[in-house]
Amino acid sequence: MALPNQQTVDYPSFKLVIVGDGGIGKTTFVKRHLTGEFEKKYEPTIGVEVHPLDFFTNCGKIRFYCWDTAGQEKFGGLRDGYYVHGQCAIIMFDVTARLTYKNVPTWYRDLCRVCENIPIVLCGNKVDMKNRQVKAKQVTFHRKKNLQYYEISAKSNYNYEKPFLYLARKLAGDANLHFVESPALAPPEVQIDMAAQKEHEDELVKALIQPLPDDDDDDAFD
Amino acid sequence: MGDAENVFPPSKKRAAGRELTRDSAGIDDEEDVNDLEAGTFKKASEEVLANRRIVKVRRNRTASNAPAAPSSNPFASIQLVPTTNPTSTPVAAVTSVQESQDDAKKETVKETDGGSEEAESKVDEVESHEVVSEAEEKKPESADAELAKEEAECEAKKTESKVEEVEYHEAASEAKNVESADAESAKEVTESEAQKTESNKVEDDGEKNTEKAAAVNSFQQLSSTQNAFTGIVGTGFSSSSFSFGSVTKGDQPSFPSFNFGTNGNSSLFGPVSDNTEGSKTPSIKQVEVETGEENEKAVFTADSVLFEFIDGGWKERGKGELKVNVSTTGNEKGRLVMRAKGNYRLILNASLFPDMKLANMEKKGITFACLNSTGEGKDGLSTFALKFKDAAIVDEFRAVVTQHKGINTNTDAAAPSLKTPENSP
Repeated sequence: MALPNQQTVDYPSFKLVIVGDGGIGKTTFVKRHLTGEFEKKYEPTIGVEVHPLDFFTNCGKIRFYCWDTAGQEKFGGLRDGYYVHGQCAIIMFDVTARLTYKNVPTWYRDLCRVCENIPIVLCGNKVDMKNRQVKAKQVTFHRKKNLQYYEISAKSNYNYEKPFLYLARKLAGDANLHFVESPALAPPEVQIDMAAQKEHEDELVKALIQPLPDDDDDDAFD
Repeated sequence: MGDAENVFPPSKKRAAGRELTRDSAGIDDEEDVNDLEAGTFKKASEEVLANRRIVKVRRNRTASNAPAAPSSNPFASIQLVPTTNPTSTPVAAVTSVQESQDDAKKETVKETDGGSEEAESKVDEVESHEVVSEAEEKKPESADAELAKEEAECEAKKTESKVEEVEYHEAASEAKNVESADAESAKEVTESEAQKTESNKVEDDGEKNTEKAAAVNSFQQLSSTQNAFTGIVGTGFSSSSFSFGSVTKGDQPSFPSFNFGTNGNSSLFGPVSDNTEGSKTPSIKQVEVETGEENEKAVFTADSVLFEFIDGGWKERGKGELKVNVSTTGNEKGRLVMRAKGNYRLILNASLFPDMKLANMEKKGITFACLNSTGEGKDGLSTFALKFKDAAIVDEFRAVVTQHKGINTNTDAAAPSLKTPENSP
């Protein structure tokens, strides 16, 4: 469902609701897909933030309108009002915080009250962390409710596209759907004038003294 | 949801005299056969009436909405096919029942009690169906969203699978009642297999009409269950329809159908959904996949992490395979292409250019400026950095880029961008 100020697209689009306790990484997860960045700062989401997220598949382009909802109760806004007309959902928890898993049934119940029978993925986030409190074996809720479960890490990108892939397959009704490389059209030729060149060189000087973000290990190439 | 009995004010309700059950359904079937001849209307006996389930539909109605020509031709407004274009003439009420299988035996009798605000339409199906619906119009005291309620009961023979659709059209003659946009879904339910859903969405776009399509599910041997889900009222937030197929109480596994009529940009489960605005989303099927790199070859590939320098800090743009591509069609123009692992999102797509300067960073990094044509970044040059697995790859990357970035800048012809006053002789 589109908001009034959202441009509509001529390819299939779906409303995706992302729920779960506060601080488990819903926004970081969405941002990781949107811009590639990994936001370390925690800024609680107020109410909801909606982001269009496009994927290229062998069945064409599809779009998820990601409704990244507030996890913290005090910022909840309309709460389940955001779920209306949801067509698929991600319920997320933090494997390093047991309480966030304990609350999954509540999120599930609230969601299903509004959206009957939509495809739902359960995601245990932060599996890159050492101090795990919810082991993979202890995650059983999805079996009772027939959900798909993925262990993900927004930090290391482990499985981070899997929830979307699963939902896209369900929504398309095609189990063989897969993501394909997004087309790279020929980029424009670079025409720079000296002013821009100078500006860039100044920036380069500053950039050079800034160290690249180092993820304290080389899991980037795992 | 679906329990329509709860939403009726008790006083308006004509309750069924008895509940239909699996065992008693057959009795009614026989009665119906004797009931009517085609084209005639005969008031059913008290006994039969007592067994009928009366359906009421309430909706808002503007005050000046004249009860449309009940005198002339009560059938004038009957439409058996769902219309997508609301007519502009005021129509009192239309009720049509479609039955897909027993299509021959259908009779629609409509009765309007001249000029009053209540129209009652009765439809008797000779074969096995009996639907009595009473449409009740209501004054728009509550200008707000209002629920239209409809309840219907269908009795079906056990072996038949049926699709029944009751469609309800209303044309309101006032332009102002924006709030009265009611949207309901027409549902078709076949019993033999998973349901097909059809959603008709109606939006009040300031025109005079409101169209309603109410849905009736026909299930085998419905007993006391309510089976018609009434549409959700168009509120200010959305005028889309949203309905769920009610749950059958029969033996068969039920797949409650649901559909979303949204504002025209959403399709659920491919081609099933439909709406009246004519903007259909393409169905989901296999398509050709183009990478945009068909006429290029990669002269360098390596896993890498891309960063962009923004607001005095480095922001990661993604991890994935970086490629240096050169065109295979003549000019050896090179570009950088990088896609994120997993979702294959394009994160870097930039031409190499003769003046491109590369500077090593730390051990495994290299930085340069380029014009990235993907992403939401700013216009013009932006500073990027790539981090590779080890320093040897950095050197290799630098060599390849240097080789393909173009002819040396010292010649004016090759570097028109340098024709600036400072540079000119």
